Amino acid sequence: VTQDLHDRLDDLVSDVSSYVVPDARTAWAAGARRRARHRVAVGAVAAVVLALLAGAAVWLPHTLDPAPAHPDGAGVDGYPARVMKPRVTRDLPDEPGPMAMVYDGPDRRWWTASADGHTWRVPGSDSEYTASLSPDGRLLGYLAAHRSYVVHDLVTGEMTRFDIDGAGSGDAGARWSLLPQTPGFWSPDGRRLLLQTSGDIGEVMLDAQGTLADFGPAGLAAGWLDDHTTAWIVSATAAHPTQLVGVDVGGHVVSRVDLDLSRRVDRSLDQWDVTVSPDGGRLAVDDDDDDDEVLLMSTSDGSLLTSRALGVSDRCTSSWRTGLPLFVAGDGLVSLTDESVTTFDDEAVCVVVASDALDGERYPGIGRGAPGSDWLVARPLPIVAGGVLVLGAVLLVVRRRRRRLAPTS
Amino acid sequence: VNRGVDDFEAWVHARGGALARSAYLLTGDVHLAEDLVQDTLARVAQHWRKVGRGDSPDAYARRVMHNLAIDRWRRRSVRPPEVLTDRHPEVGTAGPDVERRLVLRDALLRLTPKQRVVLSLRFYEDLTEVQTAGVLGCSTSTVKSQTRDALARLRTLAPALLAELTEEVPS
Repeated sequence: VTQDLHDRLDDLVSDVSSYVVPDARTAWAAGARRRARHRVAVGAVAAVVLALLAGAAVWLPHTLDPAPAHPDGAGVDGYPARVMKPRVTRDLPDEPGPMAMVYDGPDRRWWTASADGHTWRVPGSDSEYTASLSPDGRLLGYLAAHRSYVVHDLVTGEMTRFDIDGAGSGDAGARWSLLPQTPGFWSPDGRRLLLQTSGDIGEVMLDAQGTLADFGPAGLAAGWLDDHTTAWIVSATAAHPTQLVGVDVGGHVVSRVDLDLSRRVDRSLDQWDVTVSPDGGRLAVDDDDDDDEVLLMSTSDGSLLTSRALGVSDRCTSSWRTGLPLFVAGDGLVSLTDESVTTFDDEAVCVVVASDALDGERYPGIGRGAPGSDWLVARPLPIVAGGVLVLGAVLLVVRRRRRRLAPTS
Repeated sequence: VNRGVDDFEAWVHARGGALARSAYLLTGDVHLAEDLVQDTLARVAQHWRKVGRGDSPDAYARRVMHNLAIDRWRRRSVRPPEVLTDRHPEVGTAGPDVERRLVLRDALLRLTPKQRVVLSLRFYEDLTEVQTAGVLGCSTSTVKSQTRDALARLRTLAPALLAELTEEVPS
């Protein structure tokens, strides 16, 4: 069968070579052209790929790289407009640089966000125990593993541990036991942190030198009137109305101001309802019982400056911006005038922002893009779209050339 | 470079006729066969520095030509087939031999390109099934099935000419 068919095919093509004459010179020239085109195409594709890679390296967010510490040790200079859900969970490195805010994540841990929106989880933290960020964003205080209170210098990486155990430690004889669900307050100069504890000692104070001292005025801690004076709200008695009491770092009362507050409001106050502004000039009082109204009062004479219905019951923040307190509402942080400050992809209930951050620039997201524009729209999408267009154009040209050079059928 | 051109030309001079005959089997037309040969030679020339060093230019050219023949069919929607001429002097002018060749040529043209390629490799180039599969980059079972289908179709299209071909296909 094979030989028979072979013979018939051979017979069919026996005279073909007289009619089909290969042209070696032309073929060689065509081969040379093909070689050149191939080299050009390879070079072009390599250039496009390199350009895309270079663009990606320059413009796309380096989510796995920690932000460098500020070279001159300065504090945070802005805050993110949006805190995106991290694609990868990363623990806070030793020297990530100053942070803009600390907030509670869905995993019941504390998370930090830098000014340009990079996020890290605070290892060993528990969102039940409030974390605190110094005004310049350099010092982060939090309860670590329910054993010790840590002040982490985010620029130098230095960690100072204080012998404060949490309520979950199970150590009944502990002298210091941090209260859950209570705010901490950094002094305006970032040298001291006021915390509230249970047990024999009501309050403790940490300073930047790593010392810890008991500190025991009665009342609700509200912040700092200046670098050396803490602010306390003392409930009304038969002898006096509700008072704002100033206590110096040695525990001595240095000022008393009667507040223009009703007895009803006085009775409803809790630890989240009173906050003094970073400049010490204003006191915000959250009236939970009256349409969640916020009262702004003068710390110098106790008068009511203004009030506004907020409609938010739990503030869980001691942050201020441009003289107004901030609140967590909806999907993020808002001002008293309902202006959105920062939105969170993951729900955040408690947000503490460094006051210097709120005095700085509002960055649109990951990367230091132009303020006011959404980073997702402003940067990667045009880059990706441009890359795809370039690649598409190259492929189209190559395909058209291939078609043109394709043999006639 | 000159050495390369000279070697290439010498190889084309030696193998051009065989390539032309194979190309004709695959296309059924001298003009299309000439195009196919030139395209094949251009690709061989493109890689001559590699393929010309060893003894592989023949195998490489065979692989390129047969795959190009299939590619041309795949591109048929891009460029419709052209009818170049009704006359086929390459098969002769008159007589029973001419008639027989025309019948075989027409039958071959009515096979699918892959069937035609398999028949050319198996029964004209005398490659084994394994070698044919290697040229086409497919499995031997595909070669077997394509061969079986091609022979069956040939028997249908040219029963008088190929009646003596049996079902059995040698490996």
